Amino acid sequence: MINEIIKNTIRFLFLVLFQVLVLNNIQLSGYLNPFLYVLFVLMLPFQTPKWMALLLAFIAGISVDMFSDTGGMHAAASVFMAFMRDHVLKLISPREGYDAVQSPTVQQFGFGWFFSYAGILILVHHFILFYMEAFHFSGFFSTLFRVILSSLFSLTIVFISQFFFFRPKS
Amino acid sequence: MRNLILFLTRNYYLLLFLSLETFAIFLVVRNNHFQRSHFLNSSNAISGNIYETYSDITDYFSLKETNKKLADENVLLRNQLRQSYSPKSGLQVTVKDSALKQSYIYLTAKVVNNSTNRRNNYLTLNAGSNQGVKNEMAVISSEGIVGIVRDVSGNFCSVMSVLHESMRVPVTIQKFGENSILTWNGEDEWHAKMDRVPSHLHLKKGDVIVTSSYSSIFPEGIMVGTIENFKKIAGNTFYNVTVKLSTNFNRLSYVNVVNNLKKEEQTGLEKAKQHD
Repeated sequence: MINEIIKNTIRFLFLVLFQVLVLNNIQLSGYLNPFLYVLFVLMLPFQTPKWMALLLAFIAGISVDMFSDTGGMHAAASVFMAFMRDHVLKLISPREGYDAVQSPTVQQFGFGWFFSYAGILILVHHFILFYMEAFHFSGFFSTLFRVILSSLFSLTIVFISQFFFFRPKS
Repeated sequence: MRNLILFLTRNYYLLLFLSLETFAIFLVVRNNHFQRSHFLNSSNAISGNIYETYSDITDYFSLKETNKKLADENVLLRNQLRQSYSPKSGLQVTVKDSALKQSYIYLTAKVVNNSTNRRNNYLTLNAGSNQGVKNEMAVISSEGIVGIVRDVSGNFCSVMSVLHESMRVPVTIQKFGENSILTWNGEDEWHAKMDRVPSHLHLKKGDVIVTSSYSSIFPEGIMVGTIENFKKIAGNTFYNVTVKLSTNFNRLSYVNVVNNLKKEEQTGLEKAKQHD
């Protein structure tokens, strides 16, 4: 339990710093902005109380906001994502349910499950974020294009990071 | 009362979600206001200091380029020195500047954080109120205009870049003296646009755009960019002009903050007019 808290705190610090110092400086044609810090919300253990997940997502979002001068956009997107996380987890729960101590990882639930889990949530997060940034629906499709491309990019990085941080349990 | 408490406990999750979301959106909306929230921006102490350390490290990677740029600027400035002009055919001209009064003061500052890939971009500089930076001062680089100071703390300031949705810069087409307003096109960090340029002007690609005297923030005649493209709108007597910005926003490292000493006098007078 304590171990989980320490692990998640370190993950939080690392992901937020990595996001603001490295990823925010990546520019590929103005359409691709990867947001890896969402991995923190994705990786919260199943036993995290629902309200705590909301609060943690809010803190993660507001920390990124603080560094990128975006007001509360990231906070709004992450809180919405954490809210959806609960529903998505219910929607795609495996037949035997979740083990309380686990985190959702590729290694434990398989590629397909993780793909739909992370895919849906990242898409939701990016959708809220990019439309909040544009703040109007003119240029709807160019924003949508950015949402989809950036989501794919973030999803790819999330997948790659899975193989860095979580060793397969043999 | 009991029902209310029951309702609250049953729906606490939804209510917490809604209140956090509302708070976040409130912050976004407030952030769009002219006076941005002082706490949540990159000029506050924590993020400002982390950014400065980060930039201290990454600065080494661009040393070569910065040196070259400084050397170029030195050459340019040296060319403007009075020593580099010889008097005309023996005629002695002494210039006493009693007719001139200094109206702009330049400060130098380092860019410690910068973004170019968002819809609304900001920079953070390592100069703040302790160094004499105030709100609404202009920021320029050796290549051209950069932005306007929007928020100041002790040792940092936050600058609204030209690459910002609500940035309006009064500019002039140098060749014709025709005034216009420059806005960002929102697409990439290299281009901006000017709307409603009269089509009787014989524009050419490469015509130079500089800041106009109408701006109370930017000094007159600062380089902005060159015309890259212009299109006539059907049934209209105006051109839509695409401007290639001369500043490379991806490579900014040292910039100048410009203090217009007569700004308050000018804006004060203009404000008094508006009240009539």
